[in-house]
Amino acid sequence: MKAVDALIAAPAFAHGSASDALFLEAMRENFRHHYEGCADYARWCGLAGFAPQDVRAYGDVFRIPYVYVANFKRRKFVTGDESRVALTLTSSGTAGEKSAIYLDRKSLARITKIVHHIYGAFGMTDRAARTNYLCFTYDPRVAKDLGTAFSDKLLTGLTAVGKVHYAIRWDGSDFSLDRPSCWKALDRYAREDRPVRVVGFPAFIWEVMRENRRRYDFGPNSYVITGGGWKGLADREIPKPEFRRRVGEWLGIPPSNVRDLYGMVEHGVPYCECEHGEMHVPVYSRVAVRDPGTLQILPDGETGIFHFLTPYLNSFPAISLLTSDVGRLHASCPCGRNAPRLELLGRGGVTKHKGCAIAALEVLSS
Amino acid sequence: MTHDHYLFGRFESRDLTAADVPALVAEARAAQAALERVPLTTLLNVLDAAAARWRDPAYAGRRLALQHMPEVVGFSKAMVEEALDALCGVMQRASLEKQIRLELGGRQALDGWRFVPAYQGYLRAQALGVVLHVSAGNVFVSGADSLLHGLITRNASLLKVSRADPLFPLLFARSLREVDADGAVARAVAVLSFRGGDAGLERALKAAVDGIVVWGGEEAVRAWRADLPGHVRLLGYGPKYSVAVLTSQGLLSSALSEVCARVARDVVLWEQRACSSPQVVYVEETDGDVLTDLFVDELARALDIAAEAYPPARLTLDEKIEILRHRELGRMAQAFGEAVVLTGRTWTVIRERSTEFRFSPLNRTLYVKGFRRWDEVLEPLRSMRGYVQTAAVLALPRELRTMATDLARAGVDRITELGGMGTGTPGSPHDGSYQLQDLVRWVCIESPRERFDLGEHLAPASEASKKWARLQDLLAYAREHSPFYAERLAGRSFEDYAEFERLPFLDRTHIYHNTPPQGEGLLTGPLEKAYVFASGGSTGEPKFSFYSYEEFSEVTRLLGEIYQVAGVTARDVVGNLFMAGNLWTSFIVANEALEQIGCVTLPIAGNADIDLVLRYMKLFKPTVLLGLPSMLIQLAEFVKARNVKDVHIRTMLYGGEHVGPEAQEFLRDALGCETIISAGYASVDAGPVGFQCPQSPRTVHHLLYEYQFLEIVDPESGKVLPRGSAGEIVVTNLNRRLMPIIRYRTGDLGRRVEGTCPCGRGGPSFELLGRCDDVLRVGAMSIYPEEIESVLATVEGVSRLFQVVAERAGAKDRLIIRTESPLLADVQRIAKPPIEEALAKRVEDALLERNSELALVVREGWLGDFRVEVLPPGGIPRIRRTGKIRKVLDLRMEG
Repeated sequence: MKAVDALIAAPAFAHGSASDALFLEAMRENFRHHYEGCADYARWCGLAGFAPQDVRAYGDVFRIPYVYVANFKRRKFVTGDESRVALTLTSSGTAGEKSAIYLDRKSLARITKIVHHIYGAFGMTDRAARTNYLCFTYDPRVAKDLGTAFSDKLLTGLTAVGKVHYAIRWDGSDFSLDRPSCWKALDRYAREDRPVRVVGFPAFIWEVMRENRRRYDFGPNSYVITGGGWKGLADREIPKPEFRRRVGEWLGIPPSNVRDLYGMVEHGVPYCECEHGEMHVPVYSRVAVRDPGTLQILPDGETGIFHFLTPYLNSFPAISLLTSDVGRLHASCPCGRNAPRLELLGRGGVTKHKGCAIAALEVLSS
Repeated sequence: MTHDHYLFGRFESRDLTAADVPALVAEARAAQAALERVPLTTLLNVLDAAAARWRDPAYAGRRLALQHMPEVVGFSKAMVEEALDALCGVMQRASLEKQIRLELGGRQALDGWRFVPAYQGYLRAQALGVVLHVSAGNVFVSGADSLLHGLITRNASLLKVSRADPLFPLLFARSLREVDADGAVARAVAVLSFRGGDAGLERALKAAVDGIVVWGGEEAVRAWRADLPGHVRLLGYGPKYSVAVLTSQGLLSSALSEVCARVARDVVLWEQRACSSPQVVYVEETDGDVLTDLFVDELARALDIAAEAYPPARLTLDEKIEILRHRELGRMAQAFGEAVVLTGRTWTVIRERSTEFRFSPLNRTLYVKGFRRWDEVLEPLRSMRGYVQTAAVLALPRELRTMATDLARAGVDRITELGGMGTGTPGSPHDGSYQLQDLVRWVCIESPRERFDLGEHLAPASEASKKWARLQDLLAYAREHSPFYAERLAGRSFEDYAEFERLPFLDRTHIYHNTPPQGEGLLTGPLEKAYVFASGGSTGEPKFSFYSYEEFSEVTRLLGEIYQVAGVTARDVVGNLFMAGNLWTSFIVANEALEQIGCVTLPIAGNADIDLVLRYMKLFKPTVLLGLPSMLIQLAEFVKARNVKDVHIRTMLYGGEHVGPEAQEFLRDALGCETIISAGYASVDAGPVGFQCPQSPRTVHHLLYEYQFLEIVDPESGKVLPRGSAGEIVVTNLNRRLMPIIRYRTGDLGRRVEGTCPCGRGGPSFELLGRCDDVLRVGAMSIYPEEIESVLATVEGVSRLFQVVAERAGAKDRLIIRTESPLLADVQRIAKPPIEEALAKRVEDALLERNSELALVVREGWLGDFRVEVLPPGGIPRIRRTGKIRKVLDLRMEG
C-alpha cells in the first residue's frame, strides 16, 4: 500500500511521530509523483533548486516548493495524463481569475475519505439516518464545476440523503437567492421526523433567517455547516457566538451544532469546527504560518499567512500551497483532540483575494 | 473611538450626526463671510507664517508630527519630514503667489475685480462658499494641502479626515490658529472626524455645502458623487496611475547611475502611494534586452541606497501579502522565462516581457518592461484612460515633443522628469484642471461703461499691521538669503516695529560694492531669469540693479496702471521717448507698461535722431508722449522752431526730473498739451514709489502703498521725522526679493502730505522737494560730485572746492559748476577776467573731455545753459552754521 493511502486510512486527529513519519513518506512519494508528472511544476521547483531527493527528514516537507494560490488561477497545472481528470472545479471569482482544479478519480476518492474521517471524528457522519438538506449554494445540477457545489456534495454525502433544497436558483441567465422557497422547504422538513442539515454561506443563512418569522425544532441531531466566509459583506458580519445562538434558536438545535468550516478549493482538506467552535488540522495535511514579508515560518500563536501541505492530490500539483489567508496556529484545544488548532483571521491582500463568497454575495445584494 | 474635531477655532470631542450639520454649515457660512473681507496678502501671510513654523525644527507641532506620524501612517521619520517640507513648499507665499498668478491670472481677481483688456470687462474669482474636503490616507499632508487651496480662494473649508490619519489635520489646524492673529483664517476651518458610510450625515453635508473635493479611491469619489444635488460642485481627484518612460537615446545620453537614482527617488517617495508615483517603468530596447538589463541592475543598487536615506514604511500584513502576491506571480513567470524578479530587503523589481497592463502593489514595488514599439507603452495607458496621471520621460529633447503629444492623447495629464514625479511644480494643473479655478466661480462684468478701479490696487486703504507683517517677512527673507543682509541684520529681532527704525540705511555705495561685478552680497540667489539695469554710478564707475523677470513684470503692471491713472487710454497712440539701450530701464519698462493698456505704442526712444522723431510723429500722430523733461522740451523747441503743424499731444508723461511751471507752460504752448503729469516717481534701485493722478498738485504723489514702505528721515541724523516734516525719502521695496531694497536713501527730499486727495484715492501722499544728497539730475543726466571732484583734481590752478548749481533757464535747466582758484586771490582787478576765463575754459574742457555724458547733453542742447565759474578763494557761498559748501544746489523747484 502506498504511504498516502496508509495516511488517509488513519483517524483524522491522531497526530504524533508515527503520523509525521507516514506524512513524510507520503509527501516524498507525492512530491516525486508531481515532479515527474508535471513538467511545469518541475520547472518551478528548478527555479527554487529543490528536487525529490531533497526530501529527507520530516522538516524538509515544509521546504517543498510552494505554489502561491494565485498562480493556479493564472496557469494550468495538471499532473499526469489530463484525460484521467474526472472533475474540473473552479472557484467562483469575480476578478476574472478562475482557479481550475483538476481531480482524477484517485484524488476524488481520497478527499471523500478525508472528509468522512474528519466529520466522523466529530460524530457528524451517519449513513443510517436519512437527513433533509437545505443548501445555500448553487444548484450543482447547473453549477457542477464550482468548488462550493462540490463541497456541498461531499457534505451531503456524510448522511443518507432525504430531501435537498438548493437556495440559489438559476433562472437561465443568472443566479438568485430564492428566500420564500427556503422557508417553504424548512416548513416541509418540520413536518417530517428527520434530522436537518443547513449547509452554505453564512450570510445567506442569516438573511433567510432574519426574514423568517417562524421558529423550528429540528433537535440535537440536526446541524448547520457554514463555509466560505462573509467576504463582501464583511462589515455586516455577525460574530460567531451570536450567529450560533440565533441560528440555533431559529432552527431549535444546540448552538454547538452550528459549525463553520474553512477550506480552499485548491487544497481541498476542510478545517472544521469542533463542538467548541475551534478548527482543527487533521493528519492528512500540515499547516505552517509564514511571515508574508520574509516567508519565515512563525511559531504558534503568531499571525501570518497559511501554507498548506497535503499528499492526497494525484492529478493536481497543489502539494504545497501558499495562500494569502491570514491566521495562526495553536497547540491545543479544550476539546482535547490531539491536533493543532487553526485560527482564521481573514483573507489578506489589499486588492482582496477573491474567495468564493464574493460573487454569491453580489447576488445577494442585487 | 472618540472623534476629535477642530471647529472654527475650537477643539471638540464628540460624535457628529446629521443633526449637527445645519449649525456646522451656518457657522462655516458666517466664517466665510468674514474671510471675504480678509485681504489676500493677510491670507497668504498667515499661511506663510504657518509654513515658517512647520519648517522650524523646534516647532512643537513639527516635533509632535515627527513623533507620532510614523506610528499613525507608517512612514519613516525621514519620510514624514519630507512630507512636511513638501507641504511647507506648497504653502509658502512665493509658491502660492505663483500658483495664483498662473491659475487665476494674478491676485487681483481674488481681491476684487480684475479688468481684462482683451475682454474689456471685469472678472472676479468668487469663492464657492463652503467647501468640504474629503482627504485620502495615502500621503498625510494632502488633506492640509487641499484645505489651504480652499482657504486662499476664500472658501470656508471643512476637512473630513481619513481613517488612516485623524491626527495631522488637527495639528495643522492648530498651527493656523497659532499664527492667525486676526483669527478670520483659522476660524474658516473645520477638521471633522466621522466614519465614512454614515449615510445620513453624508447626505446632510452634500445638501448643505457648495463644493466637495474628494481625494482617494474610486469608491470614495463615487460615494460622494452619488445623489449630490446638482448645484454642488464636485472635484473628484480619484485614483490615478503613473509611469516612467525611458527612450534608448535618452538613456544612452545620461549617466545610468543618475537615472536610476532618480527613478529610485520616485519609487521611494511617499512609499509609492501617491497618484504620481510610478508603477511601471518602460525602457526602450533597440538591440536585445541590453538596456533593460543594465537599467534593472543599477536600479537595484539605487533602491538600496535610497533606502538608507528613507527607511521603508512599516507595512501592514495586507500590504506585505499584496507584495508577496506580485513577487510570487513574478517568480512563477520567471520559471516560465517570462520575467525576472529582483528583490531587496525593502523593494521588489519585476522585469516582465509581457506588455500586459500592471498595477503595482506599491510600497517600493516596480514593474519594468522593455518595449520596442511605442504602442506597447501607449496601448496599456489608453486602456486606463481616465486613470492615468503622470508620465516621467527621459528622452532627447527632439523626441520629447512627439512623445508628449502621444502621451497626452493616450490620457496622460502630466509629463515630468525622472525624480520629479512625487513633487509637483507650483502652477501645474492637477489631474487635468486647475485646482484654484475649480474652487471659484468666475463672475464677470460685461462691457462696463467706464473703469472704476484705476489706481485702486496701487494705493488701497492702509492698515498698518499688515504692512509690518510684510516688512517682517521681507527682513526674514533678506537675512536668510542675502549675505549682505545676513551680516547687517544678524542678531536683530523683528518682533517690534521700533526695531525697523533702528536698521541701517542702504545707500548707493552699498549697492555698488555688493552687486555684480564688485560683489554679490545683496543678491538672494543666483542671477537667472533676471534683468541687469544700469542705475547710474559713483566716481564714474557704472552701478547696476537686478530685477527678476517676475519683479520686472510687477513693475510694468504698476506702471501700466499709473499711466492709466494719468489718463492714457486704450484709444491713445503713445510715443515712448525714454532713453533706449545701454542697460537703461525706462524705455523697455514703458513699452511693456503700455502693452497692458492696449493702446498703440511707438517705441521711438529719446536718443533717436530728432528728425526721425518728428517724422514718426507726423506719420502716426501720437496723442501721448512719454519721456524725460529735457528731451520733451527739446522736442517742443524743434516743433516750434520748424513750425511743425498738426502736433497735438493731449497728455505728456514725464519721468526722471521735475517739470517746473515755466516748462509746463512752454510745453502746453508748443505741443498743445492738456495734461502734463508725472509718469511716476521711481528710481532704478528703488523701483516705482509714487504716482500722480490728474488732481495731484505740483510734485505731490500718491504712495504705491502696496509696493513700497516710505519713511521721511532727517538726512543728517537719520532719525525718522514726525509727520509733516520735510526730510530725505527712504523707501523699502516690499516686493523685490532678488535684490532686496531695505531702507534705501533716495537722496530726494520730501514731506508727507496730510488729507485726502480730491480724486478720492486712499493711502498716504507725499510731496517731492528736490534733492538732498549730492546727485543732481539735470538735462537728462546725473551729475555726481565725486566725478566733478576727480576732474578738478587734474586741472592745474583750481581748487578742489566746488559747487554744482542747477537753475531754471526758461523751459530748460541751467548747469553751473563753481570752483575757486588761489590764483585769483591777489590778482589786480584788471587782470582778473582773462585769468578767470582761461581757468574756466580749462575746467570746462576737462569736464567735457572726461564726462562723455555731459558732453552729449551739452552738444545735443538738452541743457538750457552750461557754464563754469572760477571764483576767488571764499567765493563759493558757505553754510553759515557749519562753514561747509553745499556741493549741490538745486534751485529749480524754488519759486
